[in-house]
Amino acid sequence: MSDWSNTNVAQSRTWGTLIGPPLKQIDEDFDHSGTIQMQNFAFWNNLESSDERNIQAIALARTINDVFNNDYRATFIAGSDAETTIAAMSGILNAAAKTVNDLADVVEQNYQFPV
Amino acid sequence: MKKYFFFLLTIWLPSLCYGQKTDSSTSFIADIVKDAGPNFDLKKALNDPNTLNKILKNDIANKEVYALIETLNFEFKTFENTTTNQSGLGFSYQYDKDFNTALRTYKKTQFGGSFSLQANGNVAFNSNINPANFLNNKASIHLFASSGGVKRRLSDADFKKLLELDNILIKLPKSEIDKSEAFKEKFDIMLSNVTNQYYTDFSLVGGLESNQLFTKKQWVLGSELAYDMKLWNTNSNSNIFNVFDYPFALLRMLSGTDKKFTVDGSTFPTILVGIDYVKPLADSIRERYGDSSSYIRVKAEVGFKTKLAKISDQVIYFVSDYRIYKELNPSASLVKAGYDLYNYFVASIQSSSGFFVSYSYGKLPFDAVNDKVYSLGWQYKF
Repeated sequence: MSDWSNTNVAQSRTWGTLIGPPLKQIDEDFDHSGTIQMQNFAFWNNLESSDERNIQAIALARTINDVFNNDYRATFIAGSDAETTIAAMSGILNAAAKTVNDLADVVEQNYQFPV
Repeated sequence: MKKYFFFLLTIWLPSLCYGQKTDSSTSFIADIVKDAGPNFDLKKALNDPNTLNKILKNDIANKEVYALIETLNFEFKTFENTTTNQSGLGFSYQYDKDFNTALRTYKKTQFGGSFSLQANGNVAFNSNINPANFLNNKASIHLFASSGGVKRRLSDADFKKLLELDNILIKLPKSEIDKSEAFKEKFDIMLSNVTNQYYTDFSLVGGLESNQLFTKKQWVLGSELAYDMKLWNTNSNSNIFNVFDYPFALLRMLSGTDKKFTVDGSTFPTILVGIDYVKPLADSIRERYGDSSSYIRVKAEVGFKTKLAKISDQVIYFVSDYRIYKELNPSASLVKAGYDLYNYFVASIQSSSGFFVSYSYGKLPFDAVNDKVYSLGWQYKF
């Protein structure tokens, strides 16, 4: 996993997507965001069933993908596509102890961002 | 306790055989002993899930041979039985894997299909103290439709501006982000490009539900329909339909969290309904009432979470969930005993630091009696 740094484009775009409207999943500055866990995201309801949470995780992963593609103009790196990437991101979003840095790791492996 | 040490041994023994203890873990264990000073208590440390999770993540989970543990989202935790006031160690596991097979877009709506495997549960080393004694293992085929959200590409000017604003925001401390002019500008750009999002999922599900000792278990085959609506744009008039958020919007306004009465459409409850064919393999409750035959049940669940207030650095949330399971055509004896209908409601006020107050009422399948439980505590998130 890459060290958490604002010079890492995948990490900075992940943070920019999660903190800013419309998603507002986290409420923390960049430096302290890498270790935030999925169970601290705004969507995470620790009282609901895994079935419901899975639906929300997939829907959120789709929106994150849309923000990357349409707002940040990201493209998929060779060998990646929307469906495998969304599945990988929803897997992270669905795991209580995974962190923003874990999510950014998946982002780095699948997207490239123009700067 | 014997089971617990045996379990730890099964985790650590392969680690010792590989003989690849990492520098970081050596340092971590040394730090625990050093921090505790002369009062270091090995037994106490081994009964603390915090210590065990850190050892697991530092010493074991980094090794390839234990990649499976990470995939399973395996974690130690403390269980507490509020009826007997007993507590003890255990673990939880959660495995979710989606295999997407197809995706088509028709008139701005994405349609797709996927195959999923799910396994999750809580296991206490002393099964008598497990209040969430339920293991769920299943496979499912999903068909979904997704529309709305962020579907339009930003203009060149807005894209360039967005990157400039992010470069400013990324250097700001938390206390200044929301108040900054850059955040307001980003808010306007992003919200101009988002529409209401609707996600519908239909699935065929098959699996095994059990308690941790498998003394109660049942096969379940069924179908589920889930609906998740996110009205992302806080300026949209359609937010008024989220009536569930009205009391909390009022509290946010009164506490000064929001400047005006603002209903958050992104917190619209997630709804799931389903119908299952259930084949009990072992169910002492049903056996007691002379009905161990297969049956059909309908079920529904509504989950809701919204922001209550933001006080200093702490975000306070209201979180709730309601589930209902109703057996169709149950026997008279089950109806009389009240085992044809399971209602469960739980609500909680939680702070981002871990403090919570919660109330739950009702029972879930496999529960024998209705529980009414008030809890107050601190939840440490490992």
